[in-house]
Amino acid sequence: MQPFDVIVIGAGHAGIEAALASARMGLETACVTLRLDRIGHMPCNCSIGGPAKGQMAREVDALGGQMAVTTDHALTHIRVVGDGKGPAVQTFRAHACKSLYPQLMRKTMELQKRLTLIEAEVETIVRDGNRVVGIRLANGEEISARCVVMTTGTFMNGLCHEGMNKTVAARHGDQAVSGLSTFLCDIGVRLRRFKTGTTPRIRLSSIDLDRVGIQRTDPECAPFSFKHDRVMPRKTMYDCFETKTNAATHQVIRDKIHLSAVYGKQIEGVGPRYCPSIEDKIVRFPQKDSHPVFLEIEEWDGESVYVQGMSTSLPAEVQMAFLKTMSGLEDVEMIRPGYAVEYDMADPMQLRPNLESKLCEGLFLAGQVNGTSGYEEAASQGIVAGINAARKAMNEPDVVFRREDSYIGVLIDDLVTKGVDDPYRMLTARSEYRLYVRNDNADLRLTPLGREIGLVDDERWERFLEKKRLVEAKRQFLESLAFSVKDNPRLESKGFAKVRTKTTGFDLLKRPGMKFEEIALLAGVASGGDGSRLYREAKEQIEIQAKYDGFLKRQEGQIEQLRRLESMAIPRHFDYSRVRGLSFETLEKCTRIRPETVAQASRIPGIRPTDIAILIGHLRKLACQLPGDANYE
Amino acid sequence: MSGLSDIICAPITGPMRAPVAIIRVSGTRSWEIAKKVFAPLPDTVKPRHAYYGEVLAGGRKFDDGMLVLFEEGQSYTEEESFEISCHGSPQIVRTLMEEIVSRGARIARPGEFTERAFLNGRIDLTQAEAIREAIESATDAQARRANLLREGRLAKTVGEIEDEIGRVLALAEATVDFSEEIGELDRDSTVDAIVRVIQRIDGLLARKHSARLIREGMRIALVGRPNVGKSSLMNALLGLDRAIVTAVPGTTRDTIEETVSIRGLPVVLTDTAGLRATDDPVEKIGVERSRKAIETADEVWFVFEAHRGVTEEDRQLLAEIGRGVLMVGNKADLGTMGAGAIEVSAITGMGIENLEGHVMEAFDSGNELPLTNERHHADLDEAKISLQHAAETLTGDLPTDLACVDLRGAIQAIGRITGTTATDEVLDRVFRDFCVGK
Repeated sequence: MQPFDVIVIGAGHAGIEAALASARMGLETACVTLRLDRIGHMPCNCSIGGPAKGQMAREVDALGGQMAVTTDHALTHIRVVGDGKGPAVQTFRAHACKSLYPQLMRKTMELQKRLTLIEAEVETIVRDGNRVVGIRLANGEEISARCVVMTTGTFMNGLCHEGMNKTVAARHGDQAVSGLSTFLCDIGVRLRRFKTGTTPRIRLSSIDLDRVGIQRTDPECAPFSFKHDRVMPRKTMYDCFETKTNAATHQVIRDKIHLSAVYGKQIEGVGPRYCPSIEDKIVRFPQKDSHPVFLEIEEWDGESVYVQGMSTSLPAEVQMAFLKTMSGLEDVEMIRPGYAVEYDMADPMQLRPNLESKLCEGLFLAGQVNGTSGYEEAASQGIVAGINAARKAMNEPDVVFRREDSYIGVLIDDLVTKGVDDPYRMLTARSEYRLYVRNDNADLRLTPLGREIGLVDDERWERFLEKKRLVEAKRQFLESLAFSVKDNPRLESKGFAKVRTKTTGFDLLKRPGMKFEEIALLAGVASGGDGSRLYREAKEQIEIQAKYDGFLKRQEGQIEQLRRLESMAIPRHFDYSRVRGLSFETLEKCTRIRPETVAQASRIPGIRPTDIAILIGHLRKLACQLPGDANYE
Repeated sequence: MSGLSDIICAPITGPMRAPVAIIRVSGTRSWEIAKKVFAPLPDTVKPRHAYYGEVLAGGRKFDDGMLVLFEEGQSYTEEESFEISCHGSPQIVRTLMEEIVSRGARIARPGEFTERAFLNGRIDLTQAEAIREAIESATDAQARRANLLREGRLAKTVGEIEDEIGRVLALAEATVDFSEEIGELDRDSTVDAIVRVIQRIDGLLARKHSARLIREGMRIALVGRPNVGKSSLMNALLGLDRAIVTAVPGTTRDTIEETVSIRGLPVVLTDTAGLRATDDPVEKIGVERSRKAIETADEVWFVFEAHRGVTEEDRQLLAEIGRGVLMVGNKADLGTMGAGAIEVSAITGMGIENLEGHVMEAFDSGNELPLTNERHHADLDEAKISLQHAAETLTGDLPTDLACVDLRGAIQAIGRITGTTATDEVLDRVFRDFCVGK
């Protein structure tokens, strides 16, 4: 086969974004996967979005990624979550049809220029010295490439558990692979066992819908992708249902807990702290007498329902027993039991912030293999690895995402700096800059970067410019409006508080509950809106900017401190052992992790702040000795 | 690079003329310089051992003095270093400094020795600050405060505040991400917790008073009728015959101010000129100054004659002062009327220790931790404002996640004191105010 610039191994949520990004940036790209019909497969729930994850999907979209675009076409349910919280926490949760989503993804990939799909098993990665030169397939064929992105998910030495039964498999219906684990071990990558799980699937027609709560879909909900004017479901969207566990449920689980793969000591892997199995929840929170359970229809016209909140590795008959204890599920039929899967993950602290392995040049790792959980976390890493593999193949500098600009930046910085102890899930609390890295402004934060590196197409870019123009115009319009004490009678007659001094429209908008239209109306000016999606987005943007102005400014002050540390680069081959004052722990960790900036070093767990100050002092000294260049190699 | 340091030198004794001056030289292979500027030295030198010998310039003796060598890891800076004591004449010090520089050293920047001690891990930032304060402090008590700081008591108190804010923040954050599972934040109890933290910070900030006493000295105005012995009392406390003492009333025409160390505590004593109405323009100025001194004093001591008791004239004067006073009955050696005052005799020294004891007590509301550092003040103030914002956000109908912004702001500000937030700016602030030679 002809040589490629970039080869992506795997076509899950990370692999898709990596391969598309690389091809869209103009590089000859191949994507190798075991089964083409499993491209973009959703082995766990069919949900995309939710707190923090929704923001990440929007960031991937803003960069020119695919996840949100396909979701808008494949969704069966969508609503806004975090309503009643601030704009920074609000985002979407969508359910995508689990058969349509992969079909659409496959089509997108097949139509993508410069992207070749290959259905095969990768045996190993081929190196020349310390550098990647290609891959070797199980049939012995070698394909050369400048860079390789590994997005192998749970496939490396996957082992499925259902009660005491074990099957060597990456997930339901997929074979596991072992060659790549061996390769990673050989080059010195530290591998560990992680575990994740999924829930039973139940039959829709066996649920008593009169005895469950309903979470309505919102047909008027804004689309997931910045590219779209509206969501494009194929049919009338579905609602989502809600029930909960009770004392009887907990009793069944407690009685049978020894049969669980985890508690029966069958599993050595570490499970996700923030997405625990139901047996975990009951053991860890004994004081809680009920846990919420959401029932999500998985596909158009399908009978399969995902029981969100009930991931488990208990035997099938126990699953059946506890399901039946819940309201609405008394006569439930189980289509497939839940199960746990154990797999090899590679320590992400051995990666650089561009997701390239420190041990092998040109090898990038992205997605669940790096110890994360979740489609959105995978997609985020995928697009970063794809971008950087492409950049490397073109001999262009790294594109590093920063904490203060995106959740993607938080994710990658956390992974490469702190490593993971359990499958990593994004939370809004992980970002120090939550108020700024919002769902609504992901495009303003990242689309210019996406455009610069060649990922954002003309259509998206024009749309972005238009929105930006609208926001600017609105801001100017508001700033130009002035209300003084003589406007008070008019203000009061409309039920608004008086102004004390001359107040601009923008300042007036800062008042709680004040709407953009109301101000335009007060000023006797047509607000100039055409009701289009872009117009509404711009209006929302300006309202958020005004309402949270004070908070944003205060947070900006906090960001500024970090930026200064972020701008202090540590030379690649900096010899920590010659910095006398460092604690042994700091010396060891910095030497191993090789932080690229002082800010990154300061986030390594266990590093004393004093050590950071010492480091700053030494870097300054160094900068004095080598005028103008602390970055020497 | 980092492991090797250039050689720096500076006198570590003050710029004032003194019998002896000490010059410190620190840096990799600085002992080689020692061997050129001091003789005789044995072939195998003993570190931390005092040698007596000749101080040389260009190989020729120009003074004699003492040399102590410190090996790497055992010196103030942790570097190889030495200290020479020579005679304190500016001429000799200059000659020696020039000689050392000509042998390859450079003159240290202000605070550079301490900075190196810090960079080489011998001291941490709070200790560096404590050292600076010890240097700046004029009296023993100041040094003691500095020591307290060095022991990290401030860090402990502030650390507790930091923990509490962290707890509140964690709770708020959890409800932001997991409200579906754990429910919403209990705003009332959260606001209560924040208010309690604000009160603790207020407690620390309130000690600004005792901190100021230590930095600037406690101001005491002595007031009393003419010739009750205010000046003698001041002299007794000063131990110097500084104020003019005569038997003619009104001798002290102007206010006289003296700083005195009372059991190691800085006290600024002002002897007032009297408050009686007068037409004499010079005395008038004196009266005005006295009034001013009374207003700005931390304490007013009313001095009267113990053997005569509080007279009618004293009462009139007391009424004119218009603020609380400490009654001091002087001349108690001549007898006493038992007026319930602190009784002393400036002449015999009797009872002076009671006055000193009173001063100690006034300070030792400051046995608690005084905040003598302006940086800590600013940071605590900032934390307090952030916490107030957070409480307002929660009391108002604003979303929880907005309160988190200010809670994080508060932690960041507090972290600059405890050192959990390391920024380059902190480093600058710590070393900026040092003088050369420390």
